[in-house]
Parts: sequence; structure tokens; C-alpha cells
Amino acid sequence: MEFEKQIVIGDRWVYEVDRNKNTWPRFAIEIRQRVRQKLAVNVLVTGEGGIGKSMLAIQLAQIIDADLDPEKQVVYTYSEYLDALMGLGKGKPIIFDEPSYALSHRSWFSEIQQALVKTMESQRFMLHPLFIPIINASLIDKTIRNFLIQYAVYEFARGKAVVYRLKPSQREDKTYYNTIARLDYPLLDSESCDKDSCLDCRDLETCQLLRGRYERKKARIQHQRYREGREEALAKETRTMTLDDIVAKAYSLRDHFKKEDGRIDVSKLRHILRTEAGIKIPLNKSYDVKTSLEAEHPTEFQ
Amino acid sequence: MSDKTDGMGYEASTEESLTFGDKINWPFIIASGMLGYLRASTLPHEVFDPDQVKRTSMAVLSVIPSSDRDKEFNEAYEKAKITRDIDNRPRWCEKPIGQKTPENQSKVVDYDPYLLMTATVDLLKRLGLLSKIISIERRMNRKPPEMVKSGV
Repeated sequence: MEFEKQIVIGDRWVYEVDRNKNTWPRFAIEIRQRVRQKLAVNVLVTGEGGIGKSMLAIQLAQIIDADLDPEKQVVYTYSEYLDALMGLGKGKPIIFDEPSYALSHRSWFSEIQQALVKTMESQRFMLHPLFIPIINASLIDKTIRNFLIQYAVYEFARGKAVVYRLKPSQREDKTYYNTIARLDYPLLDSESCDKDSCLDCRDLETCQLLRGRYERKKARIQHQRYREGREEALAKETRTMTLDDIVAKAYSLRDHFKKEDGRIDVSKLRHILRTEAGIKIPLNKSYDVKTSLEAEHPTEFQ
Repeated sequence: MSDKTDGMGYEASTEESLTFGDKINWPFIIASGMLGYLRASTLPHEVFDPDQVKRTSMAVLSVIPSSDRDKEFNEAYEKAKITRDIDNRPRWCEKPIGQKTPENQSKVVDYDPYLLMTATVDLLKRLGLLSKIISIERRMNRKPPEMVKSGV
């Protein structure tokens, strides 16, 4: 190594120390000291989409807790956050991650704001440093952004970022951003895996590295959101469907709700339409569908 | 006695609690002195006055508190010193007449304004007033072979 010496932080992470290169882990030391002094550590990590904000947030959280568990400590919703707040031990950091759908779900930002207020309320007792990767700081309410956040990390390239200490003026409506450090972090788990992305990795399903565990959780949440989105979309489409469209769809699924004697089981018809075609119809409408089916296909339905 | 007067009957003012530091914009004074020095030293030949350069450099130095001047500055200050011997004997055809005696000899201490200004700028840099040093936090991302307690 071509540097003067190194310093180990949190018994795990090695940082370069070189007077000539001006390398010194100032931010890492500062946030650890703040946790020890029971002071709030709320960090906003901003940067363009896909640059690695969440990975950097995880690495920063690891400074405080080297054995960070993404299943418990990376949360996506306010309810998950409250679970983490109560379930985690004192001083354990929480990452309130920004799901990719956040921009289309404005409620996520209000959830973040609730989380920040809750963190401040519980600071003295719970002491959970909070890391928030977000695409742009302006998406968070100005008052909360200026007064409840202590550090803003702007990631401008993968693993490279500038750290600002936010200092709100006590007299004016101003917040000063003092640059305190520049970060140069390698990719998470790069000492154990030389792949630069998990997305095309064949071992993702079984990988036990933190990066793999995090990506699996994110994919699971993402799929869940897609399913919810699909259901919402189908419900919207159903509202605009005509009776003829529903009858045609029901006819294609007739084998599932036709009784042995050839008659139509109405409750089964509703169930099949909901589960197989994602069409939710009220009970009275299901009778309309039954009548239409019997009228259009008198030989098939007795 | 109204609320606006103090115990002695004088009108109370928040100004009284302010220090010079609150009232005087010190960085502005130093910066304007430096600009004056630069202006004086870059004047065209016709109007250039070496004495003006010297005076502005001395003026900038004079607004820096002596408590802030360190050993390195004092060394640089000594190097900027120019000592000239002056012969005060009467002259005849440009040549001094008579013997050199302590009475007719004197010394004049002068300063090189450029060296003096460099010493001042170096001092300001050492005081951290010229540029902000932002450290780089470079993680090597590997576990040390022996899990040494760093104490940090």
C-alpha cells in the first residue's frame, strides 16, 4: 500500500491515513462520536438514480454497526420502520430506503417525515441513527430537511461523495452547508466479490453477502409493489369494462363455475372472475352476467 | 426608571455587549489591504511608487494581531529585513572626506515589501484563513488480519 498508515474504525473498517494525500476518516469518526454522546445522527444521501445511494448508506451505517442486517435494518415503509425502531437494540442504525416507485407514491415522503419526527422524539431512549437515500433532498419538507437532518451526503459518482454538515441559523430562516469531508468508498463487499452488480448474478438467490441479501429484499419489495400495482390497474380497467366484456371473459372461464347439471354457480362465477381474470364485480352484477350468459348460450347453460 | 435604562440611568443598548469582532469586518479589512497592495505593485512605470508598495505591505501586516504571529513568520520577517549602512561624512567630488567614526556612520533598517507580503500570506495560510482543508475519507474495505482495537 502506498500510504503512510491506516486506521481501523469499528474494529472492521480500514481507512487510509496519509498527511500528504490529506486522507483521514473524519466523517466516520464524527458519527461514531455522536452516537456515543447520544446525539442525533440523521443522514440524507442524495444522488441520481442508480448511482448507489443505498449501497453508500449501508456502508455508512456499517461504520456504526458492522454486523448490519438488511432484513431488519433496511426498511421501506413507515410500519416497517416502527417495527425496526422497537425491535432493534440501542444504537442500531436504520436505513429508510427509497423504493424505485417512490416518486409515483407521494405518501412515501410523508412517511419519511413521520419517521424523522419519530426518530427525534425517541432519540434519547432508542438512539437509532437514520440514513435516508433519496433522489433529491427537496422532496422532503423544508423544515424537516433543515432542522432534523445533521448531515447531507451528495454522491456524484459511484462511491464518491461530498459530506456536508447542516447548521441551521438560530436567528434567520437559513441553513448553512459546511463541507466536512469527501468520501471515497469501494463497492460494498468488494473484498469478497469482484462483480460490480448483483442484477445479472446467477448466485443472487443464494448469496450470503450483505449486498446480495439487500438486493434480494429490494427485489421482493419491488415485486410486491408491482403486484399491488397490477391489481390496482385491473380494478381500474374493470370499472370501465362493459357488461359484454365481462360476459365474454366469463364465457371463456365457463368450465370453472358450471355446475354438473349445467347451471351457473353465481358465487363461484364471482370468485373465478376475481382470481383468474382480476375482475371484481358486485353481487347484483354477477346475476346480470348469469342472465346474459344463459340468454346468449341457452343450450350450454340449462 | 424606565425599562430601557440600566442601573446607572443610562439608556441600555444591545450594542454595548458587542465586541469589535462583531462590529468590524476583519476579513474585509485584510482583503482590502491585500487588494491595495496588489494595485500598488501593478501600477504602470510612470506612476509606480516603490514606497507605496512598501507602505501597503506594512499596513496589511499591521492589522494581523501580534499574538497570531508564529516562529516561522518571525524567521521570514527577519529574512525580509534589509539593513543599509549610511555614510554621513561630507563629500567632495562624490567621495567621502575624513575618517569613518561611529558618529558619522548609521544604519537604516528597511524591508523588502514582496518578501514581507509572502511571509504574511504564509502566516495566513498557516492560520487556516486562506484555504479550507477538506479531508478525504478513503475506505480500504477489508478486514484487518488481526482485529485490532483502534480505540476510535
